[in-house]
Amino acid sequence: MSDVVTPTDVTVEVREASRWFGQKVAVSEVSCGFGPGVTGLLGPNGAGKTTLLRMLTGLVRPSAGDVRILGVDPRSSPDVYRRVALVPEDEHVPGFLTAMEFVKFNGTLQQLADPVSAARRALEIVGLMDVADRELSTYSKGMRQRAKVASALVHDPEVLFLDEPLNGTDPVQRVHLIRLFGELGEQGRTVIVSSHVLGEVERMADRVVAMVDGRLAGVGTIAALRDAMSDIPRKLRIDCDRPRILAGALISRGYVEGVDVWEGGVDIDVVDTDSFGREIATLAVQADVRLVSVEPRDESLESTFRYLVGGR
Amino acid sequence: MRSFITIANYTFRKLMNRKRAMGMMLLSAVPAAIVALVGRRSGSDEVFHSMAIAVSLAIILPLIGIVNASSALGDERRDHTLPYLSLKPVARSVLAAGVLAGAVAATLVIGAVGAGTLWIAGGAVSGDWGVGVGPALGLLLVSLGYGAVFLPVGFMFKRSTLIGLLYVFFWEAILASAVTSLAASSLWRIGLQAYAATLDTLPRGFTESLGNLTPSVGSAFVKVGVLVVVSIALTTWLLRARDHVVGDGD
Repeated sequence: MSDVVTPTDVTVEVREASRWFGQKVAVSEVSCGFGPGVTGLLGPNGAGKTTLLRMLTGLVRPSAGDVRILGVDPRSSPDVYRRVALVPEDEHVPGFLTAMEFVKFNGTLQQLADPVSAARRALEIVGLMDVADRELSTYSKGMRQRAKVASALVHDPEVLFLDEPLNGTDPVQRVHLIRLFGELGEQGRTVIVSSHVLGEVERMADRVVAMVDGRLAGVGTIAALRDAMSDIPRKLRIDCDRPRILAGALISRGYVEGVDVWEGGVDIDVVDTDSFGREIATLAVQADVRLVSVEPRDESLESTFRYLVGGR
Repeated sequence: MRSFITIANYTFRKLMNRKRAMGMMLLSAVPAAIVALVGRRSGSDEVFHSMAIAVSLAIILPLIGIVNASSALGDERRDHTLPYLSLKPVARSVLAAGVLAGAVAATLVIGAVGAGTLWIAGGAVSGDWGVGVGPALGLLLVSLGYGAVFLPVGFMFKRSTLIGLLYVFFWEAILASAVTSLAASSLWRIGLQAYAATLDTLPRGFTESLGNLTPSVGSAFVKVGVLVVVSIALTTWLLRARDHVVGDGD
């Protein structure tokens, strides 16, 4: 994965931006650009994604560096919000408003000529028109999420920031929203979607900006990320009845980098999980070892990203 | 203008929607209850005016104004709903003015409940059912004054309500009462300044509370006007300079 992204038409740009809160550095010297299409902002919890999105939208000031949306600093030029929208991660919504009022409220402040029609259209897109007259306080988490998306879409923004937009949504809603975000990207809008779930991002975005510990871990395509991940040694734990025999059989295999024998099994570092998966059963049979289980020890996205960062 | 009204209406509804608005309405009716109980025995206008000053104008209305103004932007910033207001193509000054107008309107409505019940209680006790211009002026000016001061304070400080309580019960109630030259630093006394100007003769409590302030409607409006302008300017600057959400995010 490369460190610099250079979309043809950069609509959102962040340059050497850092943000710290007291002693804690939330974002550290991040530089990257976003262009039309869907870009995933990927990273484990605490990676700095939300802080970066807040900086990009002007909700928080960078402690150093600067951000530009459509060529301007959003904090000094609020007019740019006519072309920009954010779906925040936070669950809080103005619960005293109905969904229709909530979306219309945004349409009115966006100075739309007919905010009611625009609100109706946006609510239909997210499938909430039937319950549009209910107060948001009565909505489920997934419904509130969709209401936020409707509010963000009411003024037809060119740039859309989505912070964990699938949180709380059910599988059917997820499919619908993922398709919607994809369509928005295909229409030439800049759609930036943050998520800590690689599978989610993979279904929405072609390009990924990966963050870990407030730093840019890498920028590139999903395929490049997958390639990078395939090179990472995976730590596996094998429970078996004769660990020393199995360890002896495994140590000679090229895809095994490290072996640690313990009483009930073997811990190994594998660089090629595909080959390991194909051969482990045969090896066990040949060595007369009874396998009980094979489980990953560090399958989390966080560990993967830590590896990527550590390798820089 | 449409943005200003929309923001003011949003803020007003948010503040009036809460259960605590109901609690504040009940609180604002306490002076009326006292007048009804005590005044019936004393049978005097003095009780009505004393209640109007001592409880309504000096304690209850300030508390309502502080809570509403502090919450108007402060709660939005801390519960992360401010983006629904601030990420809009609206001048920051319009945003600040709209929120202030909404907060003041909420205080006025809750205060009006108190003033209305006090009027009913006072009328029942004294038989005088005249509509007092003075209390209405006091209500308006006090609502504006506390709103103007505590809107930016609420944005800046998490414990703005505590700051407000200290201001009301320490600064205004003790210091500004003891040192007459500090009367001008007391927001509710600005309302009293206008209220007193509408009365032919000042009840004893008014004279003591006014300190070195001279009854004057014009002077009171000028002071509150300056506070409102400064408040909008300061809040506008805060919206430009400070984070719109509090917390270190992800």
